[in-house]
Amino acid sequence: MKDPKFRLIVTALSVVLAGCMTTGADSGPQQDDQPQDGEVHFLRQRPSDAPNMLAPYEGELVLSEACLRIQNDDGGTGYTAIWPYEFSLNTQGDSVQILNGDKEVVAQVGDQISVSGGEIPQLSPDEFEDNFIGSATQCASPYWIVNSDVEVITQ
Amino acid sequence: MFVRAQKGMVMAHSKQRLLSAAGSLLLLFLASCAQTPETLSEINVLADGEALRADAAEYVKDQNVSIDEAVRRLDLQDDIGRLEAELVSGEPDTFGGLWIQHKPEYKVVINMTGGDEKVADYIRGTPFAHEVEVREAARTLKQLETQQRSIINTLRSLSVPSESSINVVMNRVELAVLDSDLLTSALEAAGLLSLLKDISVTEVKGFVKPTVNIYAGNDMACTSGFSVFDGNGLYGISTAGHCNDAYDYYHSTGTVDLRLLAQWYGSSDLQWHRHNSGSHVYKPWARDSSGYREIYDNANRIDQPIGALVCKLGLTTGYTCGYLNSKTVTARDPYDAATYMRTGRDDGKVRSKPGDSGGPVYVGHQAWGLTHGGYYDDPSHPNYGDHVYMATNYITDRGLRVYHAPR
Repeated sequence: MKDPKFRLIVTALSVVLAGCMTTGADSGPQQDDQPQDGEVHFLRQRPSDAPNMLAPYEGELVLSEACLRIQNDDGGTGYTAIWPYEFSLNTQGDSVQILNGDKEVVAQVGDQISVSGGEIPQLSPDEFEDNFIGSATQCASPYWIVNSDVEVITQ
Repeated sequence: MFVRAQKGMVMAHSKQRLLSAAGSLLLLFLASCAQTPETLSEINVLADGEALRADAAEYVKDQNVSIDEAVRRLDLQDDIGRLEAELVSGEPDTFGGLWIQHKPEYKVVINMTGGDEKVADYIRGTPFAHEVEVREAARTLKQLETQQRSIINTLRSLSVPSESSINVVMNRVELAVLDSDLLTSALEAAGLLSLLKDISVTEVKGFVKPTVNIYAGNDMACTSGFSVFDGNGLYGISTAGHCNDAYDYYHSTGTVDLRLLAQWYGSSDLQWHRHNSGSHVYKPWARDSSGYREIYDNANRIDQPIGALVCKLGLTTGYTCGYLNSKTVTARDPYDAATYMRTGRDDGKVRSKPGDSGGPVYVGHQAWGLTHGGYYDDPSHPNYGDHVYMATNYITDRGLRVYHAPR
């Protein structure tokens, strides 16, 4: 421990480990990870030029443990939605609304919605945060990458 | 062995040798005729009469008559069938159906709602004329068929599952339903309870399940991909890995409940399913613009040249074609391998939309891939309208093979 270089390394490691052990609330998440509203985690895709996936899916938009999920009645688990980059959230008033890139309401919690896109499996937190805005630890997989053509079937 | 023995018998004198040789040849010839031809396959072809006697033997087991009587009765079936066809076309307003009764006595029974005397003209000179009985019926066959169609169409519009048939012997329509309370309440709500008049209703636990052909280009919520099989010879149906896992396969001949066998991501945007129950047939076919085509082989990514015209079938956009313009498209995360293929065409049309995922991509009878994605929602995108697919070698990479038809 007398070697200054060794002490520096140990100190640096200690700082890093201390940072890793703090809770999410204490660690001050990056701005991108912060839910737009304290009650809802709004996961989004990063800007991409990639082609849209073309699988269809329908279900009720639900808010479950602060996560927005699309829940089908086919007996499956449903999906946590990962919204297009340009989408945003409006939680003012009694409803939780999803807004498109033009700030138009495309759906709200409780709606039966039709979406397209595709399923992705469980990812490690690093993989998730490399590819999406938000944290994998906030909302459980499986996820559905949602295309921009969200439609309400019934309200 | 016999020839070697004969060699030992050759006589000293030339005449005797000749006689002996001739005798040997004769014996050899006879011996070869007597041998069982081990290399010949024996095909047993039944002559006409033998086939009917074979069927008659089955009839005898049920009806306890002589084999000759059984043959006679079976022989009459052609003529009886012709009689029915003549009555259907000749007496539609009075003919109520025909059947063959075997017990307690053999007879041909004809239901008529009137005009009984006309039957004599139809059966005169037939070998079974003395075995015909005409009975009075309440409804003609035509009326029963109309009634059946009416109830089927009505129940379909009311979403009441049912199966139906005409019972000719009882001269009525018979209906099988899963829930008779649902049947009556639905008809009552629609003011159509009277449709059940004279119809016999039975509650059943399930319906006859047809055998469905399963192949590429049909409805699995996504589009079904090619039929595939694994190293154990297990057959299934493929589609895109990014499609929802819980699927049924829908076809005009029926719906098949599927179970997911495996699913992959990355370069292999792939999953495959197999039917849960029933007997269904996986076909090496892919739907196209006019029906379906057989698939004879695959083309790997490396064998697909830029500029090739490639076609596909999707549930939403149907049959479309485009020119291969890239083999290194990077798909959305986590499918971000740069191995996806893109086709385009200078006509401004959108070649793939939601619902098309997983569908077959082909050139002629060759499988080229499965639909992955497209650019359908942003007209300002430089690749707007293009179609993106995964090449078929990413199916074989996962230990599956595309099912090919024999040429």
